[in-house]
Amino acid sequence: MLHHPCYEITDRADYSISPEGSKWNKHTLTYRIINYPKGMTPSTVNGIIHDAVSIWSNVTSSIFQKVKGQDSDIKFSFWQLDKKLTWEGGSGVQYHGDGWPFDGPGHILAHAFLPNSETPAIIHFDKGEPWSTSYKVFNLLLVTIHELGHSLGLWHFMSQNSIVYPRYVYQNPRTFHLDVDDIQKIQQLWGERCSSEMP
Amino acid sequence: MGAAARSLRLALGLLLLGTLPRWADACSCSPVHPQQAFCNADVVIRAKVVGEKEVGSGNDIYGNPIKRIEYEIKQIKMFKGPDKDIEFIYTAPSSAICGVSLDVGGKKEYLIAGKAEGDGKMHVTLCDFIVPWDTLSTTQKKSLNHRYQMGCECKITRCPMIPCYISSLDECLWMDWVTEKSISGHQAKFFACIKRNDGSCAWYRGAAPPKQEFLDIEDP
Repeated sequence: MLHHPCYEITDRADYSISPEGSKWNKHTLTYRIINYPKGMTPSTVNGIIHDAVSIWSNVTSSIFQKVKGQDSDIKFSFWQLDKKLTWEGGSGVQYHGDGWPFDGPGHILAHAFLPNSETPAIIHFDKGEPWSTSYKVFNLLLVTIHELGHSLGLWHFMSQNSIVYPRYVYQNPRTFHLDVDDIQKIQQLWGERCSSEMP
Repeated sequence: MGAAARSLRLALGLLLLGTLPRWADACSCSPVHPQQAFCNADVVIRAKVVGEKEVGSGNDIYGNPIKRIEYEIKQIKMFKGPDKDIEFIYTAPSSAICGVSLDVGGKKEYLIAGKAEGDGKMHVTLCDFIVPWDTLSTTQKKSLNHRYQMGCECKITRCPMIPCYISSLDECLWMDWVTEKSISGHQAKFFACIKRNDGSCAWYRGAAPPKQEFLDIEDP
């Protein structure tokens, strides 16, 4: 059998863990957009998520496929402010389902789960943010790239140049490119892009 | 490269890895000026952490238990908050989302801002302003007492890129990101946005209380 550097990943489990983060043990990931934010058309959001996915697939061997009406590896959804903001309820406190409430405009913008979590690659956005396609707060593309980085297995990285730096930092989405450290980290998890294999 | 140099590099690498925060999962936070963080928080305290344990907080809709980390703390000073001292801080566990990792052992002092949960408790997230006390500037430390509160009715508007404008007189334009490519720049470290007697707001520098001339100025 020919050794192919693009397909070294074994299939023992769905994920494994390394110092850079935790990783998927497959190359093709499906994604689904469950709902949409206010003030943006579904086609705009679809385009933004496609662009965010391309940012990562351009530098790795990962392939993304959008699916509709079926289960997927990565799920994007937008959730309203949770009314109950304290924890005093004890058991039965549900928020938007995962236990970690959103808070309306500002503060927490989005969260996502790593591949090795119990609900892997679920990406939740706070529907209360004024999501934008421009420099105005908060540019949806930039936050989506950040959250996707986590869904692909990257941990937070405490450099302000990194897209997985936990604080939103504006950069021009038209000229956006990943920092060299981010590319290096994601390639350690996923391998480099194999251009001949791309569709 | 010799074996000694290689092992030194490895040791340095591990050392760096060891200093990374333990929060592992994803969270996007809005960047805030320390004064905004102060104004938005219910509780702002200086404290040491003396204990840590995992506690259950019900189940999520998938039936998985929701666990939180409970930090037992020793409050040194409260800058804002309820009458009762804070004894316990809750956050998402390191394996969950937006959780904050604090050094336990009672040596490291933190400034901790967060949401009150009643009866000596608060909840914190990665998006709250939580920093080791000794990383704060003198101005920031002093501003926690009264200065920041003097501008809580003002609005701090972050400038993401030039040009930026303010739309009303009660706004202060936060320029650190464009001038220093940092959200902990000069204005974050040394300035507070203060409301003056005419209702307008302006950046005020320094640790000394604002002089009457500053507060009374008619034309900013």
